[in-house]
Amino acid sequence: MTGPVRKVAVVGRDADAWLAAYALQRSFGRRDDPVAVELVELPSLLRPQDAYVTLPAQKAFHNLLGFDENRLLRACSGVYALAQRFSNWSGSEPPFLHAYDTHGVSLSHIDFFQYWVKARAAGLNVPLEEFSLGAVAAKQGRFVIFNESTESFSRATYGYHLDAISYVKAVARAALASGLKHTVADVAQVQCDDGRIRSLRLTDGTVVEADLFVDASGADGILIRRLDADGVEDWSPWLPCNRIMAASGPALEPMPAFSQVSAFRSGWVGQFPLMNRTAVVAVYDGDATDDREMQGNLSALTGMRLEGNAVAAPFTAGGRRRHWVGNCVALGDAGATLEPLDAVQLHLLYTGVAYLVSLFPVSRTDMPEADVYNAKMQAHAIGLRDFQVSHYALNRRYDEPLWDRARDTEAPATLVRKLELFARRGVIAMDEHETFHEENWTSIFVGHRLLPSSWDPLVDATPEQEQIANFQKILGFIAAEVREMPSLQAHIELNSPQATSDYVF
Amino acid sequence: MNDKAIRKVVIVGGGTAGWMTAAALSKVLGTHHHDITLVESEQIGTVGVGEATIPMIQLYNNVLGLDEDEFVRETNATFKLGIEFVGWRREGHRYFHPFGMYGVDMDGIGFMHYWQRWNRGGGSLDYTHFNAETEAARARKFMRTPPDGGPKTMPTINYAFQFDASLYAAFLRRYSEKRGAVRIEGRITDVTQDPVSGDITAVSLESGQVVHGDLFIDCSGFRGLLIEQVYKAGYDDWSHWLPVNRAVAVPCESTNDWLPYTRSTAREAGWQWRIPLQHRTGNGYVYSSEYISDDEAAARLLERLDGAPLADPRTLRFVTGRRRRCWVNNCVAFGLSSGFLEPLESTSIHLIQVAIAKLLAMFPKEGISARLVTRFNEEMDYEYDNVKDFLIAHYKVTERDDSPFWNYVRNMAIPDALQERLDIFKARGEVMARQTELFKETSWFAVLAGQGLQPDSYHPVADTISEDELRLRLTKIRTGVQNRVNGMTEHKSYVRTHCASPSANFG
Repeated sequence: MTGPVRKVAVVGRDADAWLAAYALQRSFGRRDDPVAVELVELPSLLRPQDAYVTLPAQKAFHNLLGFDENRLLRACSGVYALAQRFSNWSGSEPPFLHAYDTHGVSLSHIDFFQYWVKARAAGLNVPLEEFSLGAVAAKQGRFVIFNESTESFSRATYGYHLDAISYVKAVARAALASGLKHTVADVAQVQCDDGRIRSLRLTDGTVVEADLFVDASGADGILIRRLDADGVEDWSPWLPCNRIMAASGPALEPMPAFSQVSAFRSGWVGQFPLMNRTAVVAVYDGDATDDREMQGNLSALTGMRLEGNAVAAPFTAGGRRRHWVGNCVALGDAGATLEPLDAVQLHLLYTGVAYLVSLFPVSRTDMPEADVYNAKMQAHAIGLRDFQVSHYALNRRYDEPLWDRARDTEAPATLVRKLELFARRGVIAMDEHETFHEENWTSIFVGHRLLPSSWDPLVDATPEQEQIANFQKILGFIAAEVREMPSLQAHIELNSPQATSDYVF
Repeated sequence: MNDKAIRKVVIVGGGTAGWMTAAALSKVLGTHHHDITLVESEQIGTVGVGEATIPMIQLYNNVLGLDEDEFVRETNATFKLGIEFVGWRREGHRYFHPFGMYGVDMDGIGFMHYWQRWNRGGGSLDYTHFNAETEAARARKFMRTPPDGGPKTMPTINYAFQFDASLYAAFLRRYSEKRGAVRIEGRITDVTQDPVSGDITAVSLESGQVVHGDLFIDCSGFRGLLIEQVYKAGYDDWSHWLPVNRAVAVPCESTNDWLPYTRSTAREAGWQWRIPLQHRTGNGYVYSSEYISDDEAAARLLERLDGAPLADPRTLRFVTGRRRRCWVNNCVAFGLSSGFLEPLESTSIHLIQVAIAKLLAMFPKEGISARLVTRFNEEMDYEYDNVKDFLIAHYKVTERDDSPFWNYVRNMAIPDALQERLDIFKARGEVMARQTELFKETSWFAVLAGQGLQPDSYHPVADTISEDELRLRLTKIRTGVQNRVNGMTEHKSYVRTHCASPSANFG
């Protein structure tokens, strides 16, 4: 039975399943000698309140899938987010922005941040984010369109807020149009044999055989857990929330260019603007605050009148040690389950799909690609986890059990390494496979008031006057450029316009 | 001294027209060389019921040197960004006629051509979002454009006022009297004319007092005490085009929503106005007596108020049209005695102001030249004609077919000049308004498109830029509008901070 992979079965639901199946169909299903891709679609768990909040990398994912950004955003009331705004994570400290952009410009080949650390120690009181074009644009509700001078200064980019149900519908439409085979059913039985999945029996009696099985079933991992029952590492000591509530509020006007994430006594609440509404998410410790209390507090925490019901579901953070076991690859939440924080939703899925496409098994029998794949995926998952954990580890909400515990818990070693080096000299200890870059880590570390005690000694070689002049130049440049940028709302309205109405006033 | 010198100006009738005239004359001519006298009787009511204006009134107030906040406070005024038309195209439809422009003109042609190109290419954001006044009105916001107006892309805010006309008249009376204008109380019972020239030399009052004058300004209202009763200047009746001939007015309690605009709602036999002031709301039903009785109109109006009535409804009668000659001999008619156009576009005060400005511009030093009189009359005819055609368009261009009144106006014959405009608009989305016209392209577009007339095409210059450039320009304009509106405050709190009247109702 050796030979190439002829058939892939993707089993799962919602965005994970549709995006994975469509990506594989586009990559392998359209060749002269095509691989048959079949999607076994499990019942959806999405509710009208749900939204997907993504990182800038989702744009690359969409490019891979051939989506027209404007049409896609129009289809799912999508909005760009240039940044995430964190508030109430540290007592009375002001909110900070984690913008998808760098800070300042290097001077004499030394990162701008090093100069800022030194200047700050000397009394500078301009927050780091003011030196980020993306952050300043986000604060003023602008959309960054590069020109010649900003192009070399900034790498500002954006993620998306997408209405979940309509997003999945749009992806499904494209996937079905591409000829993807699609079955709606539940899995009754998974037939395993020698550490591999042989076939699935569906509730309608159909048997699905395949050479490669993709598990996109979400946190349950209904296929992969049959091959690796104890493969999930529990991350809840570091990410202690165990409930997620979703709700919906009115659209915000003017449209903010950022997500808003605000900590409260027993967790955090996120507000994610969409064109036609605001998606609201609460992630919390259900033992400290029950669903009823949470629902009652949601309006006050968000400052908005919520529309319709709030819905809650249990949650446990955790990740698989191996995402690829035998002939089964777990994608998205089936591989690792993270909080909907830092816009990481769908990111692990994209990473997994991209690696699977590039490491697609050449043989249906032995799949030696799995080890490399697993090393990369685990590193990415841990990087994302650590990024989330750092919000908890660095919090300064005292005398609140959840937050006190989060501070007291020893952080994962991978994160401790980053925190310690950063605290000493403002450098991020980067690993090989990481999603977030130095500027991302720097933004949140500094935002949470982890400030380096020293800086790169080479900084001292530049005269102070020159540094001050440089700072002023950067601030002036950003202010002038941002003033000329279009507003985010106008950009969306004109590029991915929503349904027209006859009501002209 | 030359006995033909114009020294004594007598204004007959108070009210808005009379006192606007007295105030402007006492400021501009002064009272050192000219006697400004105004004769009015407290027994004769004025028509003012709450008056909506257009931005041109700022020119008038500026000539007087009024402090705007003081004026707003004294007249219980609110700010006005435009007029909302409800139900004019069809039941349930609404559109806004804003005071400012849509977008900005580019490469010599109007914004609306670019918008039409974009709209035809599938762009769905409607043109109203490119106008700052409309967006501010939606959000019930108001703010004067700051002196440092910000980047060029941010539009200025054009506004007028909604005020209590009787308080405005009282305010201007104080202003005029302070500057030496003299008010004489009394009813006019007789008019004396020069037997040779026919010029009016004096008016006599009930009390026996005789008021002599060189120039008489007839502000006596509909009846035209001098211009018609003495000179039989004649009247062009326009009621076949504008058939409404009555108005029933009633103030009601404020709903405290502080709308920065006037609302006009189409009704079975005419339309209803709603003018929010600081302390109350002015309302009225303007109707044609051929299609509804006075009692029914009053009853319908009372049913449709959004607050408790504060007085008994008052009915006014009028015939829409224009005095054939506003200036005859040494008598000039201003305000209602010079003609009447329904207040659908808030032009009443404007037409007074225009007449005052023209009189001041042509003010005779010695003797009255017949040429000047002819010129004045021609110019006033032009003003009335323009407004008239604009008003007729509101009735003619409609889909309403739910009452005999609307069936009449929808099917009526219209002036040739207006038909030509509608044809040009249909062909290319502009009416080619002349510089001197009161209502410019934006107004015509707002109303004609709002009433449902869709242009077939647009100016070819709009096709000369690339698709990307077009989108970028529109995005920038939209951004400018948003930035302007985002920086504005709630209308209510703006008034509260700057110019609240002691009787203002802030809820």
